[in-house]
Amino acid sequence: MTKIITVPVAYKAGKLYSLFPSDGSGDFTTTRALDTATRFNSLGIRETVLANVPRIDHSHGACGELLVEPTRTNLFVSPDTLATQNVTTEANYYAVSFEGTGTITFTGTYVGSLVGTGVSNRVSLVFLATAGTLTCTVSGSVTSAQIELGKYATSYVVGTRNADVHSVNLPSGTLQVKEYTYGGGVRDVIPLVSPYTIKEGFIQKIIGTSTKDLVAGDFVANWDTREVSPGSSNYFQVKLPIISGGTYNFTADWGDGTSSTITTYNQAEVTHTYSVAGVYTVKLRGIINGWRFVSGGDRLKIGDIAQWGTLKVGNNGNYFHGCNNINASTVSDQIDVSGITNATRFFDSCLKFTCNLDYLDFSGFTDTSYMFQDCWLFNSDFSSANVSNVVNARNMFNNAYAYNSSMANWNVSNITNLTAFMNGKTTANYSTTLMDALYNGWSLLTLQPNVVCGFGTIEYTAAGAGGRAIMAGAPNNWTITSGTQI
Amino acid sequence: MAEITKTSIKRFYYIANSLGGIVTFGKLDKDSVLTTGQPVLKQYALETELEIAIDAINGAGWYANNKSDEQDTPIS
Repeated sequence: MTKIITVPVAYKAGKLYSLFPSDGSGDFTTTRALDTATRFNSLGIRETVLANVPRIDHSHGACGELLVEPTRTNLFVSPDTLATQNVTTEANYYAVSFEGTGTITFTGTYVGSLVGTGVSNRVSLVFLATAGTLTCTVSGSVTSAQIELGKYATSYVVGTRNADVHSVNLPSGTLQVKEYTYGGGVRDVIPLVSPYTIKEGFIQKIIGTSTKDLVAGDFVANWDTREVSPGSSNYFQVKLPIISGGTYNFTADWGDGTSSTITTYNQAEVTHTYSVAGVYTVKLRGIINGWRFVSGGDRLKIGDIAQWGTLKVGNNGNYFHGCNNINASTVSDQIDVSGITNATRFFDSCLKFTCNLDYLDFSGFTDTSYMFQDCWLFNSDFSSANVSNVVNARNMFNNAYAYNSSMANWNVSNITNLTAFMNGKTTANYSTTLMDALYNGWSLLTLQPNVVCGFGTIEYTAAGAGGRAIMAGAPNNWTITSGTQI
Repeated sequence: MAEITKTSIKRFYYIANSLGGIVTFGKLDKDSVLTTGQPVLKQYALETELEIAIDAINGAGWYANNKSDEQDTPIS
């Protein structure tokens, strides 16, 4: 165990925040098998730190930051003093960094350049390469150079071997953040709500949500600027997915001490540029009516959602579509869905999304197609959901592996499309008991005729066979695919 | 009712209504069950056979253009 009494984790104008275990131990477990990891000390000099010793890095200012990094490989040959060379790349993101006053010019699988700014200044560039050969032409002094597979540059690793794993394991139990004023003592103690995570990267912030920080009505989420994807803003930016035709009058607190007032979807402030790439808690306060990612934009940058607030997503569907990294497991309020009829692809492909949506009001929805498709971890109790106005529910829970709510009492009498409704699901994640009850419950309704309905390979028993036969028989004439009767 | 019951191999199929219009199509994995109240259920061992049959009804190229949208059980 390594004892760290306080670790700076975030900044706000005039304030400093430090991570602190609530038991007062200050204990952290650190692992870093090799001893050649580097950090910038408080004098701005890069130095080696011994194995299993946490690194407090000063490369981004006078205040040190806990450095946590994954395993990386430096692909440059003889990187201490770099010469022109070729690097084989795959179609992926690469980060290049170096110190010195020279320039690296890239041709081949990526075209661009990175210009040095000084002997002790480390510059970096992240780009998307194609597969093939990247020619790196060096001019001037380029030292301690590194090219690595990934979306951000890590600290310098000497030679061409694998980097070691630079990880810090937090102690179990509750963490808290102490808020200081510069030159003063502890001003406040803010409990963090579990779960919290340390994200990889140069600037480390403890990603957690303080209930004390939440102001009712704010839409609060963490955004990782480094999660760049095709069509997204750049490595240092966050762009809000607000849309033409939406209604806006809100303040964006960007989490870096700055804020913007936004009233139109296309004003410049919709995209915010940070001086340092990393994770920021962004709070939106005011009128937001219109919000949709449509599997594009900064869909990978938005992560943990702490509060839905008064966010209204509009009525065009695809609201959080493609947001692979969102999770709302700690929210205590409900998302406002008033006025929504089109819920198509609401959370489609939100792979890690969990949230208690037990009280989600379905009553206004007419289209729930693809709504929770590929929400691999999502589950909620929808047993009492009012879906009586839903017409199209195709692919609604396609590949929603964790979902196992009863739907036996659903009023599906207006649904005309249930194609691939629960495809991808099996008896292992949706029981025969639930399936039998669904067949029997739905068979009692006056159903729309000729509906196509997919239940994956979920099996059923003799207890549900009668209901299933009624649904498939005249006058319903449904087409049902499922697992077998067992 | 027509059924494909617990096949030992995957089956390709299409289902049509009384007017001959395609209602749905797909691939049924082994040990799965398809039950339909529709009057036409055609089965094929190969996807190419299914494609030929559907294009004969809806026109050349229809199957390829609609494969990802209209099917109930994925063909992959």
